[in-house]
Amino acid sequence: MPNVRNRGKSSGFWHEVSLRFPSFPLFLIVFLLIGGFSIKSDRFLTSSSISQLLISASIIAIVGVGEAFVLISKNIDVSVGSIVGFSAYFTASIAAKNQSLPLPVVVLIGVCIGMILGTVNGIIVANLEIPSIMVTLGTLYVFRGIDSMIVGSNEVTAQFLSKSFSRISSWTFLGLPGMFFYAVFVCICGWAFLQHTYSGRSIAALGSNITAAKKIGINSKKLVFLVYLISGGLAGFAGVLWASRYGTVNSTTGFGFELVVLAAVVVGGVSVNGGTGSIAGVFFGSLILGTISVGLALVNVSQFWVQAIQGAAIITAISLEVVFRKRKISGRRSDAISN
Amino acid sequence: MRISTLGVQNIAKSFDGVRAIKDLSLELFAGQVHALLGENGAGKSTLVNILGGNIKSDSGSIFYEGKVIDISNPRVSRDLGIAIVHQHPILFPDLSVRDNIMLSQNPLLKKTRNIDWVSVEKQAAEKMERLGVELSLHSLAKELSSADGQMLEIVKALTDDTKILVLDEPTSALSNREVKNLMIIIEKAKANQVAILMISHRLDEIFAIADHVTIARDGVSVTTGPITEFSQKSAVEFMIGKPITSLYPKAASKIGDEVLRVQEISCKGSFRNISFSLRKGEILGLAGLVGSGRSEIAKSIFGIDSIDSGTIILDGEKYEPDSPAEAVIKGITLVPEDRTNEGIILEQNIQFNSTLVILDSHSKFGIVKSKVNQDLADSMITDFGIRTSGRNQMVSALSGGNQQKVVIGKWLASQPRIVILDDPTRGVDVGAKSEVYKIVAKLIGSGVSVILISNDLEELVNVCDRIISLYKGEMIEEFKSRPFDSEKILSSMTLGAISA
Repeated sequence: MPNVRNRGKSSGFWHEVSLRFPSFPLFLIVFLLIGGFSIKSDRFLTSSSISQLLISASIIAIVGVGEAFVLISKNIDVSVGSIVGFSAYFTASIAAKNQSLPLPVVVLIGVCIGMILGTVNGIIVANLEIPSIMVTLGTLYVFRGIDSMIVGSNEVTAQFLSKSFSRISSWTFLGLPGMFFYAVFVCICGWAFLQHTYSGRSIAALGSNITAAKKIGINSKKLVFLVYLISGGLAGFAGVLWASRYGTVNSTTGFGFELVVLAAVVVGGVSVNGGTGSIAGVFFGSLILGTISVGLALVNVSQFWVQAIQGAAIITAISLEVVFRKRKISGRRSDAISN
Repeated sequence: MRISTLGVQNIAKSFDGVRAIKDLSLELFAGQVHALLGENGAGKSTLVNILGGNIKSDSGSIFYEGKVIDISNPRVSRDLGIAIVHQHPILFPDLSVRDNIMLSQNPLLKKTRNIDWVSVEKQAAEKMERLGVELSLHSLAKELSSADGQMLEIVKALTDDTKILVLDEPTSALSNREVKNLMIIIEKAKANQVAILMISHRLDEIFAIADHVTIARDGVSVTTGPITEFSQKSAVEFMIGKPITSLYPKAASKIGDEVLRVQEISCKGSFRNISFSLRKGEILGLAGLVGSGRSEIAKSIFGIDSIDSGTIILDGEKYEPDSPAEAVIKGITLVPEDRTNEGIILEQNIQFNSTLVILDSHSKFGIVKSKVNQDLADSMITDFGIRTSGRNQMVSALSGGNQQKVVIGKWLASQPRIVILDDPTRGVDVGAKSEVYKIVAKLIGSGVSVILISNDLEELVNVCDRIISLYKGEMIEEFKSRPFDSEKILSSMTLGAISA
């Protein structure tokens, strides 16, 4: 009988690594990128650049975990950039008007705003069975449009906000920014939910084979709704952190952010065809994208190039996935024969 | 009188005006294997889907332990203890064997509660051992061979609460050893007072294990009774509704010169040093189990996979196909084994599928000539006896055997000189089988050469002019002429050597 676990004898160490720690190549890329940038710029390996990198990666990772759930269920959410902006502005303006609100309540408001928008996505995708890319592309514009209409040319800046609002994101622990710990917390919760709960496994099952999922009685509508709710909620949370961290929020906040998030998630190995993906991958994918954007800024590369490189990263990641999958299949064939 | 575990009474169901089931009744009793026999299109798979809660019957009633029930969705079906093993395994390809089993069996672990993996793994391993299935819990379902996938489907379906086990052609992808194993599983379930409904085209299996039989024809249950009241021959006659003459039509063909020669071809991981030749009007059989390299050899000749070494000579010239398109131009055609994935586009109608291969030659300036195509589709429907409401019917609405006919018809439309048929009668009933053989006979009659791949030994022995046995990627023996010694072929394809 082909026993996939035992087949690594000949390939040895690297095979063992790829089995036990599938995100290892991503880790290696982060390492190489950091090495490369620190040779190019002596400002890269300073604590301020590193914490800047971690902050930017953390916001990507928080939204990325939600996006990963959506992709694993074989859907997509391209509206997250607008949700981040929406939540950032409205949470910040509520906080500015009610300075006495306790911080957990402020954070909760942001998460709720995100969840309400996620609910809109979820209801439409789950019930009308319209391809999710069309739905969320639509809501990307709708959310942004409503946002811009209400905000107009207004801006919430740091001076309107209480000192305490910035404390949501400004704290540090062991020299690492608090944002990083938020991201780690979200990743751990996301991982536990995806890998160790019935709902989490059902989401992967749904993305892997929807017919089979329905046949064993998995409620696909409920799960699709759930992934959009999670994605919206996390994007809402990221909006609060964004406002707290950067202090200035206007109607363009988070514009185009969905592409960065998608890039990170796909680079992290989450399959755009649904069914597979790991939260560890999302974490490292976010670090890669964060490192690229901070690093390129430090070596004075134009912002347009940053976008081009992010795009190239997506294509490279998907091509690698395809190549890897082909190799795996031919590997299995030789097993079937030799066993 | 004993109360049946599950009774189906006078149910009917139509799809798009095609009546899949007209009037079907049967009763399943605890501890009994009930066989449902019928040709393709008799309504067997539709019944399975009704029992699974995937579709609702239009009329008629279903009884569960004497009470009328309504199986409105798959959840209800599962809660009743109905376990269904589908003909084509319905798995989660991206998930591990463990997850596949867990998701289908642990309704207790609902909602967001943490899964106790240690106990899940223990239960899954115990269960596989009980059923005599050897699979690694951590392999992904997509990495499994089709036989292993079928075994996983069985493990998934059976639970401790199973009261009714429905097997829809469970053996069509299995090799002999696994079939034996499955028979043991069925015996065990029977001893545990499970009511079993078994659908199979392999009559020898049915006659070996079933207690009771119901035969359906065109959506109507025509007869039912203890298996002892039937013989294989009478069962087939009930299925097709007329006396049978010969399943294997005798082909009148003259075997001519060599058209294809394969010399020492190898493909790493698939097959090694394969050599054979094929003559005009000849049927060459490749006998081997799943994993013997038989399909891979076919794919190499058809230009899907490339070979690492060796040469292929076509009409005396070296032939190195880079793509199936090139093979088709050279007059070679492969009718693939896995029809749902490789052979057919389910969401399109018959006409679309039937003319796909030759679309190019039936177009002018890139625009498809629809009249020509319509005629072609119509003639295919009549030539192959496809049971359908017309050329505009979706292929997904056809029964398995009729889908297979569309696949074969589609490839033959390119008018090839060499046809490779990869397990063309897998999961196909006797009537359709006979029609497939008639098509083969017609082909060689017109001078086409055929390579027939199959693990149905009876079929190979009766249809082929010459047989080559394969085992684990190697050629074991060539059987040059009829009559063939089935025993020898069987031992060389299952053991890799001819036993003394």
